[in-house]
Amino acid sequence: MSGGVSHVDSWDHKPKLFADAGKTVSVNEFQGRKGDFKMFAKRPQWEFAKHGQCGTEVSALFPHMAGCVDDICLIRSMKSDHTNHYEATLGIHTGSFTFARPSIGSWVSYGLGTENRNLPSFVVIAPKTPYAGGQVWASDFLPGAHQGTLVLPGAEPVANIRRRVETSRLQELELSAMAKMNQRHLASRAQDPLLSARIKSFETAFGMQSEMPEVFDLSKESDATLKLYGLERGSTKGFAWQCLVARRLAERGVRFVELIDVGSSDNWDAHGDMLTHAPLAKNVDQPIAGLLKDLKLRGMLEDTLVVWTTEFGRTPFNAAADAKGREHHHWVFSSWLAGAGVKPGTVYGESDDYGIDVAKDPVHVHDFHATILHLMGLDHERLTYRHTGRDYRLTDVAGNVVGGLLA
Amino acid sequence: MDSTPGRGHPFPSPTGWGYTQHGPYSAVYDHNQRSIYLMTQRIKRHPFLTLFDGADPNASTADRRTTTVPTQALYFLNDPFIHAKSEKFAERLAKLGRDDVERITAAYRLAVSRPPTDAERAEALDFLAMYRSELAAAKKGNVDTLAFAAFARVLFGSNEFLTVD
Repeated sequence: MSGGVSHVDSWDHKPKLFADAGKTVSVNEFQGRKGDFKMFAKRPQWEFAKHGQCGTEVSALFPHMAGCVDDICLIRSMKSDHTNHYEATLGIHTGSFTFARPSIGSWVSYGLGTENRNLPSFVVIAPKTPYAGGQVWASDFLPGAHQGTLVLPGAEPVANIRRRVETSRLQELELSAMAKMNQRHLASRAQDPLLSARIKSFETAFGMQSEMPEVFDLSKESDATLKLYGLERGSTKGFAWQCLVARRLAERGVRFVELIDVGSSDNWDAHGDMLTHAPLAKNVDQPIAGLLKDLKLRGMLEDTLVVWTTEFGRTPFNAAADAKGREHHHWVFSSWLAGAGVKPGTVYGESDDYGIDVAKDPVHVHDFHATILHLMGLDHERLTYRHTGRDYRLTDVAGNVVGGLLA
Repeated sequence: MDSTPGRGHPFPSPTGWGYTQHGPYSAVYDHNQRSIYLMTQRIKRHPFLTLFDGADPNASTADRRTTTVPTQALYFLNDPFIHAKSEKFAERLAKLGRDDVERITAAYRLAVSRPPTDAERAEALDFLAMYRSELAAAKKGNVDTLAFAAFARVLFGSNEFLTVD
């Protein structure tokens, strides 16, 4: 979710923030500036209620996801290193808050390899460009095969996937002539795996042309499934389409699918008015709940990890008592995990009474990454790549697997 | 290719700039000059260079890794640039040779710097014949150019054309 979802309006219930709204709060930093600031506690916009067997409190902002709390491991003690969108977005994707590094999806693809050679191993479905642009799904110094393949809703979701020549037969003629030329070339040279790999890549590309469009063809999905996601038949709009396509990609062996709901504007960055969270929540709430239920129905949730996150939270206070919005807040925010070996129906970590800082069991972005890699069967300290003279990791020189999140 | 030195990119006038992290500057200025004249944008890598393992422009890269992936093959099969260039190549061949045999020889000389072997010439003639009849069946006009453009794509996609011995 791009822009910074307010934790105190969604996943982190702070009764004291409701009770003390309007009272002054002292903080020593505000929007990246150090100093003594007198701020006003701001009342959350949505009421909270207990949900599920576990009784986890979720606000009325996410009524559908609230219904799934028994499958969710909620983290209320997330910590990031930067108060600005660009850096925080880069950080949650790459573990680096300054320079571009390989995306977490690229690391997972590099660590696990591919299960389906007709599809890329890392797919990103993003209708708009997020903060920090394509850097967030780039493989950077990792081999290019691990970069995220961008999918856009519409006629040609993946670049050059549509056959440009008139008939399939014409393309087969071209490919067969090329194969003959390549075989002859290969036979006259010493064994070179690169040459064979290129020959193979054309066979795979031919397969992708039919397999990729099939992924995006939702016509065989039942009405019940579409209803689960809240998707109208024939529509490619909104997060519902993204979530359903994500399930289809996961089913076909794509290792890492990232869904980005909105871009670097008109997003969750509710400086002006918290009510702007409402339509954004409506876009994602039922589809995400639908995805969790659908994965569970198909027995896929056991070995599919679902991660919900944003780049940071929003201030529980503001500079004016009557401010309608909230500012950026990276000291504490909420994210959640579900499936694939995380503890379901639990809450991990706590923020303080107002949701200003972590009170218990902090989970830094590096810890979050280390845990995700662990759940994928990868040791974050051993998943390395040598670049410019040293070994690099997603977690760089930090991060601990958070045992408390694991089932 | 246009071999003249690069000129300025068509950047928008600074008086109209209002870029922020919410609405960042974003453009790709394509041209037919040497790639050294391409604009490098840090937050958005050039699509072609990204596909073929271009180095990260933010870092010094002494040793560039290369990969072989199907999305690169898709580029050779379907990208409009490859199709446009192969048609241009076909038009050029039409001027260089009077018949198919002369044109096939010219194509080999231009693409891989050698004449075709007898077997290759025979295969190319077969390919052109089958391609033309398939085009005619699909009711396409301009059959000669399209068939030679397809032959050009075969050459451009081949390992002999793309790799250095």
